[in-house]
Amino acid sequence: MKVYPQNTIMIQGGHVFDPQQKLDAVMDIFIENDSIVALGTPPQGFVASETIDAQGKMVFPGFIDLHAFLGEPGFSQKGSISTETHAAARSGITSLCSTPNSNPVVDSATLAALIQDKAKQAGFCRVLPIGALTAGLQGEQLSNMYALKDAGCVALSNSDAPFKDSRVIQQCFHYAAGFDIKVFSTPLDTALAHEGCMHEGPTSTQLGLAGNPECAETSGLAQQIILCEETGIKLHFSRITSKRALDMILEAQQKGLPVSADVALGNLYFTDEDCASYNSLMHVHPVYRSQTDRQALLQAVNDGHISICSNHYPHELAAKMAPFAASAAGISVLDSFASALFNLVHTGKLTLSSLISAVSSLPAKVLDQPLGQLAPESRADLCIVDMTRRCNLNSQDLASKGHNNPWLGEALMGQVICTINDGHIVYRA
Amino acid sequence: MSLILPQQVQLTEDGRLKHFLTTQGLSRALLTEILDTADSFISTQERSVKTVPLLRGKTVVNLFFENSTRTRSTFELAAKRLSANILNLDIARSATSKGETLMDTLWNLESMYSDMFVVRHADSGAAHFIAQHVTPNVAVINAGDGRHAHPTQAMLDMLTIRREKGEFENLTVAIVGDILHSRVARSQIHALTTLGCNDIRVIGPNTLIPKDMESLGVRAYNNMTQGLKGVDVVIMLRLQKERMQAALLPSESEYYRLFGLSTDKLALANPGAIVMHPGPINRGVEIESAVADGPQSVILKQVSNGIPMRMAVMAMAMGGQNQERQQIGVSA
Repeated sequence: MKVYPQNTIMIQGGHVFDPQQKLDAVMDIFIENDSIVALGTPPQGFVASETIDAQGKMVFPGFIDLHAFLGEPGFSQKGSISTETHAAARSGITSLCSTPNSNPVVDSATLAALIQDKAKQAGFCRVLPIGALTAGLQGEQLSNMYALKDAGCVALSNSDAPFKDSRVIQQCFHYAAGFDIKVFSTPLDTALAHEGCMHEGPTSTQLGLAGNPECAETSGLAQQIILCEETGIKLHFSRITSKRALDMILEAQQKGLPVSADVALGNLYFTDEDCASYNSLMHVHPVYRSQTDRQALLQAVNDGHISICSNHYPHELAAKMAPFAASAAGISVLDSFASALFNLVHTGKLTLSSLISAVSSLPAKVLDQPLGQLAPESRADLCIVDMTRRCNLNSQDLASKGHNNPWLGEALMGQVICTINDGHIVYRA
Repeated sequence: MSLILPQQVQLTEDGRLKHFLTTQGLSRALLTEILDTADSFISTQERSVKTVPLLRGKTVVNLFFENSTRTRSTFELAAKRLSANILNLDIARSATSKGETLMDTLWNLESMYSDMFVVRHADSGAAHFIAQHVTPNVAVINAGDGRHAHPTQAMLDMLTIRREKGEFENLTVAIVGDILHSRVARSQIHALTTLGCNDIRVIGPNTLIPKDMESLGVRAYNNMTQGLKGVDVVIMLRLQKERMQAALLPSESEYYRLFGLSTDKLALANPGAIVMHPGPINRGVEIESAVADGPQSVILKQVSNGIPMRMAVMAMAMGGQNQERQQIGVSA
């Protein structure tokens, strides 16, 4: 008996672009249920229940965000799974890794399952939870790592919480390596970072703000690279900030260590100098570093070495309405993620192909999942983008609960006009 | 509500002072105008009737989130001598300790129709934040924010230097001690640079000199012998006891041996060099009593100059605010 597809979509006349699949041409895409069934010529007998006109637009694989704080459970004033994944869908994101630092912390299988269920119910974006590496993110005892992996956690991380000592890090890596669990880590020597709330340099000296020195990142990183070599853990360095850290990671890769890295979108836009007016929107974790660091990070994306994540951290207004150091760290990114990225292409900072790789095939490789590609039989995750449309968001336009978005009121070139996730249209401008 | 701060918060559109938050970014002409205005108030301080009516009918709120005796009382005296009504609020012991946020405290005070806030706060940038978020037409005077700025102290120091040594072009100035934590040093450096001083030195151990100090246009020294050579003005900074615990310094005795201003070390400076200190001084920790009380010390003159300087910036900022109010009145 033949099963008739219930959901068929034709995306007509779009410029299909997927550097990994070597696609860069105008062609139609045919979707049946949750899969792409053909590119170019329709399969025999294909009847579209819905046709999307993509003429003059670009079609990309759905984007993957490796790091976003969603606020649920426990921080309903900052965000919810529904509001924040809605914002993600507006930026063409079809898979998103949620951080474990909710309240309660994602250190149990129940919570990992709950988050995925809630995301499914909301129906905007697939959420792949990152579980806690230590119980309660306390940095002392191992979490139930295997149970977390079994419940769908794509990786484990201690988020931005410190470890009690370096032996705990070593034991976490050692244990996780035995079960082929991937660890996400944002290396930081917290003693060296001290009370630093911005990059230590001329601007912090001028502003009288406590500086977070580059060596706080690199000395933490050096330790973890050594522990990686010793334990064989698959390590992903999340949100690196400095040129020196980047060089160390590339060197480790050349030595054959299983390490990868990403950079937060904000670090491709801003530097420590942007803190100069005590703008609390520039108070982020990890910090924005120097112009040299920013250039090196852009270059690393262009060279195809690192992925780009949102480092989305929505906050209520009161959390940001305080003097710089007293304000909560973090920015709300997801609503502007895609437009801000396309704007980097528009202004000549990134090439289109390196950008698309950095938010699709590269993070898919980090997660070791068959996502982020436009190919027959692959999951129908994609977005349609008008590269010539200006996107100028104001706070009333945001889907995210967090209005701490540094791109508000900025005209960014390029806008997602349709996002398809698992064959469903989840967003249309 | 926008979270973006404009670069120049403290000036009116035509470049007059409406808040006084930092000495950084102000023109030489404006700093000179502040000095001249303060100079003119010095003569009023010597009369039997010391008050002038420049702030009559205005309400000034002393908003001190950090303890202070000297700065607060000189601001209070300055406001009274300008005929303002003054309210002293010791926030360190009241509202915020009950959990009220800074914004809520401010909104409450605004509701009492204040005209000027004199603010001291432990967070760098707090005065900028307040100036940005209070109702327009309330002048904000920074009485010290974290490690960032203490502009009235720096300007009363400039006034003292100008009265003792004349103009700034040919002066060599050394600032000695805990530069890292000092808002006074930062404000002095910006003021000195703008006023034309081109040899500014900071002297201290590496652990008390912030990174990239040279970006502020100064030279850093680790020893007094080199640093004090040929200096016309020596500014000593207070050393706080808690620095010993934070792995910044070994001991008071080693600090005094290396950086304490003794008669011998002062002899390395130019003859006639003046010795300054923003107070309160630690005798035997950063300065020898014989120097603090000696003929080259102008420490008590600094205190006297504090009142006319604070009168000057309060009067000028209120003038800038009044002008804006009138313009708004005309356009409305």
